[in-house]
Amino acid sequence: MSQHVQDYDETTANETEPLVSVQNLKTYYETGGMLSSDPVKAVDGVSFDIQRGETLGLVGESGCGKTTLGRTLVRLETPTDGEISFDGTDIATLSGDDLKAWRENAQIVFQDPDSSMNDRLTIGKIIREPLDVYEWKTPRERRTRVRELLDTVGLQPEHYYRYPHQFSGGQRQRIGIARALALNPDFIVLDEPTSALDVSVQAKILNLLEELQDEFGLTYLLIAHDLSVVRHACDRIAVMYLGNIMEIGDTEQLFNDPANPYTHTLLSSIPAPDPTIEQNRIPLRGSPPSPRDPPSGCPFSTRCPMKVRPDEWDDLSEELWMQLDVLQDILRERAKRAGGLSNRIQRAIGLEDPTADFDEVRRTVFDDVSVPESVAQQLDETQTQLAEEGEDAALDYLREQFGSDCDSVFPEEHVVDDTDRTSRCHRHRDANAEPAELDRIPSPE
Amino acid sequence: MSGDSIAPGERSLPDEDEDEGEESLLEVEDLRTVFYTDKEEIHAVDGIDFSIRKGETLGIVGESGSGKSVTARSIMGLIKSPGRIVGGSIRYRGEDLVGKSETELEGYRGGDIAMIFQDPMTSLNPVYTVGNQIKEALDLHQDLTGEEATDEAARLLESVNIPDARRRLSEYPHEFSGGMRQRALIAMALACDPDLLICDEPTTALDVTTQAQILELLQEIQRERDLAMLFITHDIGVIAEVADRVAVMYAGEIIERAAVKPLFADPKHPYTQGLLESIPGRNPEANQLHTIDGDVPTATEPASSCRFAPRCPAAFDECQKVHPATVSVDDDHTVSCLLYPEADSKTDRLAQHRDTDEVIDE
Repeated sequence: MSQHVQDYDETTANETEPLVSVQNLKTYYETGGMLSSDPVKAVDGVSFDIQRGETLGLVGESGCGKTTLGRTLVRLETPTDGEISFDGTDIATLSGDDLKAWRENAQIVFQDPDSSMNDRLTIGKIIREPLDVYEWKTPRERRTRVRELLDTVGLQPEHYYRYPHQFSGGQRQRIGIARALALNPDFIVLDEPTSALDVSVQAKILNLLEELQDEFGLTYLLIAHDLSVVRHACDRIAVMYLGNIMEIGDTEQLFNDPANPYTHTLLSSIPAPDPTIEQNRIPLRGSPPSPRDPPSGCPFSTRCPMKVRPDEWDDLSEELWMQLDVLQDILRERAKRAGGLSNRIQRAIGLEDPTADFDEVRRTVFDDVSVPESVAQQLDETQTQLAEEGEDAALDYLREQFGSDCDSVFPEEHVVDDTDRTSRCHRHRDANAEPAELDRIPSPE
Repeated sequence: MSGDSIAPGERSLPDEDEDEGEESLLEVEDLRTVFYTDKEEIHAVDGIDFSIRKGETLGIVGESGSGKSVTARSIMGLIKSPGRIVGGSIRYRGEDLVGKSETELEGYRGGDIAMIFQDPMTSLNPVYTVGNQIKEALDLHQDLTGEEATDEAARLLESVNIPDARRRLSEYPHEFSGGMRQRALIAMALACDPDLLICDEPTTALDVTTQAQILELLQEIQRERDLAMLFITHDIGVIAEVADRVAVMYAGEIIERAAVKPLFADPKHPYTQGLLESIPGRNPEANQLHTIDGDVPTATEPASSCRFAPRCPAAFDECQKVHPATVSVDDDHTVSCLLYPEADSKTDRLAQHRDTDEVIDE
């Protein structure tokens, strides 16, 4: 969808100003349990702009915070910190009547068309609800407006009195779109609008969204995990990992020449709908870290295939590095569980010994690789740390010995091409090779 | 696919001849599964044929409601009232599974044919540890108990790339991530050392990165154990990656069948063509996505015409009256459409399709 600046937009005053501007936005869920009070850092400091009339795609794995970010932008969640400037007004702190008045401008279409509608209301009533809430004109005019909207999204006026269960998934998604359009918003968050649909239906919905954007000069934030959908529909893309935006920029540039290691990994995972293509897949190792306790340094550091390694360990083999990662992954997973109540009690009364099977773990993990004496010493020391202080101390020790800036310093944003695409990775600093040039990674086709 | 995997379509495929029965591990012929409700009969699977050979992957692709999952469940003998298999045969190593008693079927389930399902959370019992559930399968099918079973279970978890397997055995499903749960289920399916693995949308609930790992794992396992796989998915990208041969299902029927490469390079049926064109990734330059008008119909009676005709851009009058037979258009490539065989005149074609519902050899 090309960047249309609509001339009939009511707010033509600042055409060059972005419609939405987000600064250092954080949304935490404070579900402090009995023992740990760490909040879930769903969105952990993101900054970006969305221009008028553009479609910004937001991609990432489940749990990376993309839906929370979308919901925060339409203020279904209250941000913990940071600014959201919408058309010049800061909406992050709006409440009460001001919030209600502003909400007319920003709507959301939900992922699951089955659960986002009240099954006991007629379609007409569902679409009319926002109009009723805002006491838009007269009831008669509202009904006329609903019929117009039904037509706009490709449904029939006689569908007014039917119920949601009488419609297919694709049609229900159209109803959701009609409801979002009712109040003539400027900005719509599309939260996985097609992921519950079959491809042929998905194509219809994507085409409809595109037509509506052209017709009404809408600005979209399209959240999706299907990268081919995003590539088709978006002008720019933001790639999210663990609450942070790792790379953001022009769609084609990002797909053709991904700068961030995470983007590389993500793109290489898409199965190509063409059996003749042999893909250079970059396997993602380990388990995703917990958003309660994100890695210090780069959020992707625990799984990054292109992590910067310290010079003093330059001569270690690739296989050994991989196994060191596996060991850390095991310790991290154990640390996660060791926080639980029963585990703590067991450990306190000596029922569970964290080092009990460390020898066996060490044997299995390093079974097939040769471990030089210097590394073996470090592993012995890790074991001592584990016995004395537990998993976290052992991990800290391993990080100190084998880690680099990736493990300790949060990466800066670096501009990576002339379209102002930015990426967060220490590799972009001059001293380190660009990620794409590194031979640990198969180059993109 | 990486490494030494055999590229799809390149293994030598024997012709569909008389002697095929000896080659095939599973042979499904004219299978019909009907659900009887108060209101209507649903012909969920309406006369499908396919076969799977040892070590190969047959992909079944189709939209929701096309009958893919019912096909899988029919093979496993999991069709429960109001559904019933009303016709056809499912021959596993020559033995017909249709009509076998529950006890007889239990002998096949797990041990010979195993299945993994779409949603890994609902396939695992939340109140038992993962280890318990794997050991249950081992006890049932391999008579392993106690320490022996624990060792074997840990070995299985390791074989599906779950690190720290021994500790993981004592954990509950909710402590596993989505990808790991699916791995655990794969481990459980492997516990019985099956020859045929039915995968019903195994990666649909997973992220692309996790999906990539699981697909890689399945292919690795297939190579190691020479497993035959029936892979059901709506994701055409996944099919392109895993399948050797593909069957396209529409409203209970298989409308096209071919090796994976010819199917993608030269789809014959208008539905397959439309389906491939509607994928966003295949033509990134196109402004508008290709769409197919209308929706997948529900088959409420046996087919008497082409079920795709109302949505078909190439439909003509007779499509509403004649049920298309299966036409062989190339080696191991069949299509059910009145437009074929292309070489014949329309009258000849119609006569052939009217005369027979059997395979027409050119």
